[in-house]
Amino acid sequence: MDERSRRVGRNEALFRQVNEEIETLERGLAGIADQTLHIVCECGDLRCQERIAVPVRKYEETRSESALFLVIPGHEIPSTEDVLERTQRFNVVRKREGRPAQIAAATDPRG
Amino acid sequence: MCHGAPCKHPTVDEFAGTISERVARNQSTFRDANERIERTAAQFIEVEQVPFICECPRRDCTEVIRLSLAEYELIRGDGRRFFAASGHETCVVEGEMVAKVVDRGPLFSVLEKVGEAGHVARELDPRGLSGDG
Repeated sequence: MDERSRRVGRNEALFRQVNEEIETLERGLAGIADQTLHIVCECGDLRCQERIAVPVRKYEETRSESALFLVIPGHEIPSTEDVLERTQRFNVVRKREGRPAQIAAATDPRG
Repeated sequence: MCHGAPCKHPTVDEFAGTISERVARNQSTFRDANERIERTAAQFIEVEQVPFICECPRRDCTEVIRLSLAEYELIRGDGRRFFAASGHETCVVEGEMVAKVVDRGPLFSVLEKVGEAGHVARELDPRGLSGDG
């Protein structure tokens, strides 16, 4: 696996951790009145500042599999991941088998 | 909901304590979240800018701010200190002074809790490194 793929996997893992914390904060402090989470894009670019409004149910569904991430449409990286689901606001991507999926699994905060 | 006789249940405010305490507790929740993010980032030593969550007193704020691990560690070295996105600096809540700005930058500012808010912030510091200063 090349350095770029490794960096992408690492960055996505970091954004996933941020979103896990955002979910906990929104649930615990403000509540989720409209069943929508305002997460950060989980793409591989650490400079990305985009936010995504995603239904809690979809977020939980995505988090149930360590290889899945939520990104803004167009932010997917074809060399390491495949688009599993496309919507207007976000895409669900799956890390490819091998090292990308291994990094995603090893860094999954839900284990 | 209670009707008739005076309600014996504690109110939200009674649970929350004073304004200073409430603010400090809210912000400590954000600090705990950022401590977990840092632990993840620390696994990847090449990461230069880590996305952390704004630690301003607004309960519904989850703005993301990028800090280097060195910047983050400097702030965490003092249990009274927090960081907030530019424009999110809040020093007075409901008429009570809870913090002062100690460093103002283009992307984020560092604030230090004062008075009771400072004591509570230190008590809740997961690192427990701060002295009584």
